[in-house]
Amino acid sequence: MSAGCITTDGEVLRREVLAHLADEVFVPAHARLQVDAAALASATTKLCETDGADPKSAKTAWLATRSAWNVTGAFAFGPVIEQMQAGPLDFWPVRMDTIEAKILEAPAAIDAAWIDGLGTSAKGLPALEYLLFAQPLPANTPRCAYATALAGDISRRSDELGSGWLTHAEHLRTAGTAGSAYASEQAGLDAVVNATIENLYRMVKDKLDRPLGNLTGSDPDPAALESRFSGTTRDDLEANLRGFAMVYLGADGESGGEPGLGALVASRDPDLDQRILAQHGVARDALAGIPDPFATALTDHRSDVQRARDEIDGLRRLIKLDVASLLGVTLSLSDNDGD
Amino acid sequence: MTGLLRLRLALARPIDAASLLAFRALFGGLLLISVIRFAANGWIAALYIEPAYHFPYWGFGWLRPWPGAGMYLEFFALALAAGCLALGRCHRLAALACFVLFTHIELLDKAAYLNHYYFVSVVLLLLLCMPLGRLRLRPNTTAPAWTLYALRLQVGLVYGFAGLAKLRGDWLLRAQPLKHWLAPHADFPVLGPLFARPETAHVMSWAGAAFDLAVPFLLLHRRSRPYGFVALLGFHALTGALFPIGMFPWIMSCAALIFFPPDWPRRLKRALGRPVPADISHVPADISPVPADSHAPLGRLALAALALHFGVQLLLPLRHHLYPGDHGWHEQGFRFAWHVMLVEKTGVVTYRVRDPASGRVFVVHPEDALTVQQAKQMAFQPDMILDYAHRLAAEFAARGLPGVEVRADAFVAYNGRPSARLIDPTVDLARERDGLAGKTWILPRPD
Repeated sequence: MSAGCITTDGEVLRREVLAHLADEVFVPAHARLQVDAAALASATTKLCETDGADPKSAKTAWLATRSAWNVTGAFAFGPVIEQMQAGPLDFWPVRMDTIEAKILEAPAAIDAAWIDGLGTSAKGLPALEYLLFAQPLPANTPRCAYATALAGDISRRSDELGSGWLTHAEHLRTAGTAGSAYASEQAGLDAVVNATIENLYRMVKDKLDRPLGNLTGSDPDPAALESRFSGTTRDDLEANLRGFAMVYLGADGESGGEPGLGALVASRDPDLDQRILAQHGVARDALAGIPDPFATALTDHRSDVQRARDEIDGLRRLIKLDVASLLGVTLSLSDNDGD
Repeated sequence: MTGLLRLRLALARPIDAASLLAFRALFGGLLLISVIRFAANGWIAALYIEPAYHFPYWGFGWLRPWPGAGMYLEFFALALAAGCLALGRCHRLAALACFVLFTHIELLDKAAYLNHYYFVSVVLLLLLCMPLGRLRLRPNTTAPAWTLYALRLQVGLVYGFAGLAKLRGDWLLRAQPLKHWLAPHADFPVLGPLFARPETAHVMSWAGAAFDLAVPFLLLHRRSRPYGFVALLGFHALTGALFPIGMFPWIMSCAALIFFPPDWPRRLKRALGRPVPADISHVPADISPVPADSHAPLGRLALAALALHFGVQLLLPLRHHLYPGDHGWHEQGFRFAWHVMLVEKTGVVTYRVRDPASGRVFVVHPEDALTVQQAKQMAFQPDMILDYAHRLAAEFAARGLPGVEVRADAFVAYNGRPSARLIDPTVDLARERDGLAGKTWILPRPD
């Protein structure tokens, strides 16, 4: 932990944490997404221009972009909300019928405006995953042209997000001063913590409860898994947890190193910090312990998947209850009065 | 003359009505501002129109928000009535409308409960009963003394019980929840660095308890009144600046004016250079211009009604003693008791709904069906967790699964303690009834 972020009383300063997260975590993570998305667009274009091309590089690029996107899921606030990018980039479960219909409707030369006009269910990373992984994608076909256009749209949106974060990082860094979107440092901290909680909630409910059949009281449903065509559900969840670790531990991923959220927690309640680190480790191990393939484990090793879900939920509780309480976070930004 | 008759005569003794009229004008004005602010913030829709479900108060489950534009019309009517009250027009009708409309709105959803909303309802009820109908600020305008005493007692009870509620370990020894609430305000102008220090929370906790307990008495006595009022203004200004408590500081600051001599508005007018009728200027504030034995005593029925009202006001805040354990944790007897800013709680609740016929288990995250405000409030309040369990049972029955069992995994962080289970996860809440009896399915507070 850098000495400059601690007061004489050992209190970690919020502005140091916010500045570190903005400059060393949020902006670089979105820059990574931009780079990976650009590579994906390039690889998809190449795949669709060359007859008999190996789809491996496009698939690899998709996996990298997907991973980068899921890392940013742990801090999905600011530009992604303002620009409303979550839907167009990440609508799932995939509606295959919609995508097939749009391929048939697509003009011979698909431009950015046409893709932009599509509904969220017809584009984004999951739609491109379907095209790349569900079946062979022959070059110089309308299907491949559609895939190329989707990859271009993903890259464009990633660029917008990256640019947005360059501006937004300044708001976060200067929280509490005139001109910042955050009226106080606490408001900036609220945004960070609430995004972290939301990420863990989505992991529990959308990514695990739903495919487990918990929400419907029915049998597990592999069709409800995230990234089911590429079979990388676990990678997505691990990327989400990695994003959490970057927010909590700072850019270096070390406890006691650079000042993430955990530095604030540790300075006020070292026991709670240790409980969070332990719970994060347990959740990560539980996820890693699910036998491959994930879709099969959903039915054959349901208790393992359920355990991973419960441990991630345990982590969510620690952040939403203990950390939010410790740091005085206003949950979900409700602005009603109290007394 | 019996003691009771003396009391009835004293309560009916005419006093200068000036401060009562000023109180009515200020209270009506603040109510009007509150309604406008409520509408401007979009809270009419957010709290009463958008939610698909409302958390009912026990015994008031039959109340429902008006459909369509009905809630907007109700708030509009409330604004009109508050304006009339402030201007002294149609006093009884305006006070009745304000009381009925405001209280109806507050009874629609427990998630919106605030102590100062309850205070507004209680004061409106008192105003409704006061004979202030045709009174204007003219020479010799009088009102029976009980009106003044009743308002002073009501305001005093708020501070008194708020102070008593603070005489507990969490507040005095652990400085909770202030320790948690002050720390995030380290960037507050001037005082910020102090708020970051834990000892400040301890000092402010003790000072807050002492303030609440002392201020009614400071305001009652002439010599201490200026100090008490300045302290009160400082207290409410600081808490209003630090915490999102809306109109509460304004309402309580204006309400405290009732402790000043009943002729204070005339004195103020005089001080501002406005003409004051000569025949009233010499009348001492608390002494009637009418001989004490020339007025009829307060009616027995009126006295009984006053006794009943204040009996309820004295007993309601004490009812939490009927329930074992920490009432800040289990929240039985917590509302309508002036437990103001006493707890910092956050919760997470997930339900497990089991259909005994098929054995199917459904996990329900209530956040999806509730507003942010509702989900936040219900997650740490056991009676609301029970309400929603009943709602789920009814929903499943409507979907063709009658008789489901509903269990809750509810965890709460309370006044700086590590989070812990709040509800016994083995209890089928669908079979538990709401009511005044102790809720045995609430787990004890962890140490």
